Amino acid sequence: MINTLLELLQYSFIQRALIAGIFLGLLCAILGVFLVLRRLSLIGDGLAHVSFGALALGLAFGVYPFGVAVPLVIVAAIAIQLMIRYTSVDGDAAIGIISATGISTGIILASVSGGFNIDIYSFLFGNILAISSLELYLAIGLSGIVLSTIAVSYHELVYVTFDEEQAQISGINTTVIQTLISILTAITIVLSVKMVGIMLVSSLLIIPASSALQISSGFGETLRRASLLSITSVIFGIIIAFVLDVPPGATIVLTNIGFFATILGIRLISDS
Amino acid sequence: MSIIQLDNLSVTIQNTPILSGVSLDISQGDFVGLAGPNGAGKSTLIRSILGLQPFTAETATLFDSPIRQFKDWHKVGYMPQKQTNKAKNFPATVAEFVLLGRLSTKHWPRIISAKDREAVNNQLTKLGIDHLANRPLSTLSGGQQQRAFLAKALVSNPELLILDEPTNALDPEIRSEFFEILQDLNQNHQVTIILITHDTGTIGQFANKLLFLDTKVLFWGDFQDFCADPSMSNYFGSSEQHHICHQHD
Repeated sequence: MINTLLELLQYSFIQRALIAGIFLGLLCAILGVFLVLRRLSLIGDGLAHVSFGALALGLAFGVYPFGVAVPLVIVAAIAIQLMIRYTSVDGDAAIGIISATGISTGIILASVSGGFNIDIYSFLFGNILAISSLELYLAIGLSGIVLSTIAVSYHELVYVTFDEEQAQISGINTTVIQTLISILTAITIVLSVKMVGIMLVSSLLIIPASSALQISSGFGETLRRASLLSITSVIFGIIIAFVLDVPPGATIVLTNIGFFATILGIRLISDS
Repeated sequence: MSIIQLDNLSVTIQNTPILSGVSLDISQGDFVGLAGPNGAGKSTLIRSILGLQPFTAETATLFDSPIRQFKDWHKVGYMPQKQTNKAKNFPATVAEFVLLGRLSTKHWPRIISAKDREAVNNQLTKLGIDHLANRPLSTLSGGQQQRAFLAKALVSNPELLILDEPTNALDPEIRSEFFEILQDLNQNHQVTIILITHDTGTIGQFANKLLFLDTKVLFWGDFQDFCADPSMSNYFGSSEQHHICHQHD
């Protein structure tokens, strides 16, 4: 068994997948805790759909898809926040409207352009085992920026997550913090699309956070446990996917779900 | 020293007047009981003072600075209503939660220092909940939670403390302990207090001033004056006025 694992680690594509997966798993877990607590879990789904449209746009015009997707998804994330803040549209509805805009644009572009169906398929379902060196460096670099930003603004993010008005009375510019969360979420979503695909990316934000919230007593502890569960799921998911020759994105998500179901089961039994 | 000065403050929300013509001057060391029926505009007034609610006014100052430009938020401790619901679903230990109250003393980047952690420990000790520092906020009893909320409001050493119906869900014994803490802060530490309450029968034991609102100011002044004011007897009826004044030492 150990020999098989060591053998796996000899492959450079496995090394790239594991390194990128660990960074992105950490990123999604930490950001996911803030989003789940703010009841914005589905923003991941909505922005993933927008990234579908943005990636299709990039492919249609022959531009590097992630170069198009990152700014467009950031704009979409900010648009959702603005709609929630300044109109009477609810959060769920705002996410749904932006999400529909993104996916319908993507479908029309894919249909009109033709020719890039295979590329779009890879974005829909993801394949971390096919991650290139450039994508790995991009994932590490952007993850570093996002994680550093979270570290510097950590207490402001926690306060806004608990209660936006109280944070405002403490002199925190809550509009800046909201915008920051939107930008960080957008970058994280686009980066994670390669790992698990548009269809499953929101699960990386929601499931580790939801698992950790079942078993943690403090905020710091929740972040640590969500990160641990997420990274473990990524590592196990990649190895299982390679050994069984099944899609890695779905395997990572199912491993996460396995942890969640186990934790929830133990919690329900111990509470009864 | 004037802590809050309002002259002709009015609030209109979606073309509905919520407050009109509120004028008052709260001085350092005052303990103000803010009472009135549901929908009287009590919370709206507090939100206006805290800069959360747009308003019109001839004068509206906090610590002699116009409210809209006010920056020294560490001077203000605020304990809002309905924090219990938020605390129920928020994964924070008591110490983590109270630490958030220190953020008003800082500017970006708000880095937490050993001094901040010490201030949290001291505040928890003062309120007798230091043994709960590592307990999840959501697992505390109602009285313990109120102390944790108060600790967060006090950890920046505010000169003004605003509390929105803090004792609603507490049993009489814990409510009495809570009021004693407030009285100590007011009398021995010169903290100015504004307390929104429906408990008009108790507030007179602690507050030296009463602000009674019903979309406009019905009474603002010393408690003794309220009790002797015949126009208040006409408004409340002498029985209700007596009930409010009865508990006042």
